Amino acid sequence: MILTFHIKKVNSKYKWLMDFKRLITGMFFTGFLISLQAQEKSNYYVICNKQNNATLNEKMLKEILYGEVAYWPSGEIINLVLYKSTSPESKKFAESFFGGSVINVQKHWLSLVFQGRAAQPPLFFETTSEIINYVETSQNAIAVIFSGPWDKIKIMELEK
Amino acid sequence: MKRFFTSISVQLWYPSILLIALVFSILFFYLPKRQERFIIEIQQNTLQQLAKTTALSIEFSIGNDDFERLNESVSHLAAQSNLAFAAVFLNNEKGGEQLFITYPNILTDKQIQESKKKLFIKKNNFSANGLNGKIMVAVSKRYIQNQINEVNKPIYLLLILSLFVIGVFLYIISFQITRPIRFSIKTIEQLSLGNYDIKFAIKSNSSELNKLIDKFKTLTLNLVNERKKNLELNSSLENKVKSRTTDLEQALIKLEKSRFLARTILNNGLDAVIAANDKVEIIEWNKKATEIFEYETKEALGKKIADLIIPIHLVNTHNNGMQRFIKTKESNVFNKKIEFEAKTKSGKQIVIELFVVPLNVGNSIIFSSIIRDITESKMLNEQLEKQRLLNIKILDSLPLNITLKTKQGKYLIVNNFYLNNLNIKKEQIIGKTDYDLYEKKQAEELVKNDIEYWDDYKNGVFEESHFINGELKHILGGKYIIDIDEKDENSKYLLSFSFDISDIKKIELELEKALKAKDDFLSVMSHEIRTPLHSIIGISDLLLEKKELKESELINSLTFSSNQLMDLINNILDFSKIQSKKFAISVFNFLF
Repeated sequence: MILTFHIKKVNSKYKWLMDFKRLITGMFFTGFLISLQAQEKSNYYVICNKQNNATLNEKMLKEILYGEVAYWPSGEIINLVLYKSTSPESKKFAESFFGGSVINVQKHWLSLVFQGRAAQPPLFFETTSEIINYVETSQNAIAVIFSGPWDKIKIMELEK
Repeated sequence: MKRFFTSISVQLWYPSILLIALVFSILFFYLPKRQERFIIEIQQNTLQQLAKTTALSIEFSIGNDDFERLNESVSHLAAQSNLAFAAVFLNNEKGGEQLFITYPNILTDKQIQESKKKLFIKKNNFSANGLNGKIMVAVSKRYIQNQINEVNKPIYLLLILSLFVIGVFLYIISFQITRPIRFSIKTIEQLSLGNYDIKFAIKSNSSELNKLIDKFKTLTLNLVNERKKNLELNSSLENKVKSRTTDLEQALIKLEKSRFLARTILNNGLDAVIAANDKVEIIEWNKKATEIFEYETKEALGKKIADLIIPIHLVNTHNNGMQRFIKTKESNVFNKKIEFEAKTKSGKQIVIELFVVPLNVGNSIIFSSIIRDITESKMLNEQLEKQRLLNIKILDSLPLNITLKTKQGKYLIVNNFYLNNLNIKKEQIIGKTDYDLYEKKQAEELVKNDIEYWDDYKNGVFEESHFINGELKHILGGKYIIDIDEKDENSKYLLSFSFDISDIKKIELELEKALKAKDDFLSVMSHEIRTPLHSIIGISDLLLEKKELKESELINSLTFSSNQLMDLINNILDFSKIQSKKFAISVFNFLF
């Protein structure tokens, strides 16, 4: 508002200069955000049952995590597994996918379930090992973890 | 069954109807209301429970990261067919509330606020893991009302059905109860038609109705007996009534006659009769009134007296007088003769003599007025008065002493001439006798003189001579008895007149002297006239006989005698001219 006000006050022949200034600022801001996202992405691993042959891209992963896609391409229902809010990993997960706030994850799933839009509400586990154990046994499960062991499960490569 | 119906007491009939009406009105009004309250209460409790369960599910789901429980709660909400919506509000950092999510449809905050009036709403707070808010569950009022109606429908149907059944039941009961009464009515109808041959076949199980029927039987028998008596009584009564009727008819005829008589008297009376009620409206108007005032009876009846016969300038006086009389019962015009100005239909002003009598008839007053038109008599009176004044003036201006006395000797009329002669005033003499006016002796003489006339009823003229104040006075008088009514002694009066004829007497004496002188003159003059005539006649004879005489001497003698006679006659004629004042003296010169 202040900027706009200022622009209105300066002579019209300097308008191109102001527009250029805004363009440069916007470019810097976008670059900063992209660099942050790239940094976060490198820490998580998407895991599934070893018998699961499905492939995912980043968009599909996000849709699954946001409950917008509830079925595997084979038609089986997706069993989404998440960290409990009391778990320290839940903070990392929230930072990676829900803007950094754990409560946002809960609020999102609250709204989905409340409106009956969730075909299968996610399962929550305290530790990574509990998640791995469940994924090992459940054929349609999917989870995002930040550390191994990796022998019992399959890490899904995300297509670009 | 029949026994049951008829054994119900008649006395319980009306209270039982009232009781049934009361019970039904309670059922009609109270039961559905109670049902409604009950349903609303249940609905609200259910709603509250639902809100609470959902809030607990949210708390559990957030607190334990288990959304299965919430999923179940939502399925419960979905099972509520009357659910309008469920909404979750979250507390924001500023302490306010913000709409987070709604179910089943997505609604805005504004839509929720607007629909609040049509809904029953229950709220419950929740708090878990720092997520605070409230859950709101709403149900449509209309839906609840429909539910209430659904519930109440069979109740209403049942009530209407029961009312119908009770109505039929009451009709049957009333039909059974009133059967003996209807029979009684038929019996009464038969009795009224004159059919006294009645069989009492009806019996009732109600003791009261049996009593009634027994009483009715007794009443009917009594009626039959009474009827016989009545028939006898009737015949005697009829006779009495006949005789009474004839009496009444005769009385009516008499009354009619007397009314006719009264009416005829009223109409043919000399006076007008007008009667008015207490509003001064005319209720009686006879023929004479029509003659005087020119209004027909039909025109006059019902009109106000003031509008018809009272002149405009007297209307206010009349109205005030009537009002005063109605208020105070005092008046100075009633029960006495009064003279009054009045007007006729054609606007002619007349003078009437009025006699008004107020009569109390029941609570009202009737003013009966007897009216006489005195316009003509008043005019006549005025003329008479004028005539009387003229007569008095004539009497006063006559140079005669005129008096009129009654038989008792009282002066009734005296004229001014008489008063002036006596030097006395009129008031001092009228109504008094001679004894009051003169000394006893003189009075006695005068009275004695009068009595002579009274005794013989003689009328006559007299002449008297008296020395009055040293002078001899001759008086010529007359006394006459004036008789107005022969039969009435009191209507006879003595008229006296007298006047002084002393001057006439003197003239008469002088006349007598003159006549005597004339006689003397004539006796002398006859001789004187005869002497020349003798000589004329003698000479004439001589001339005729032609005797031896000288003619010239004879003619001389004749001429002499003729001239002498001529002189005499001239003288006599002169005298007569002197007496008749026609004597003319001619003046001329002559020589002796």
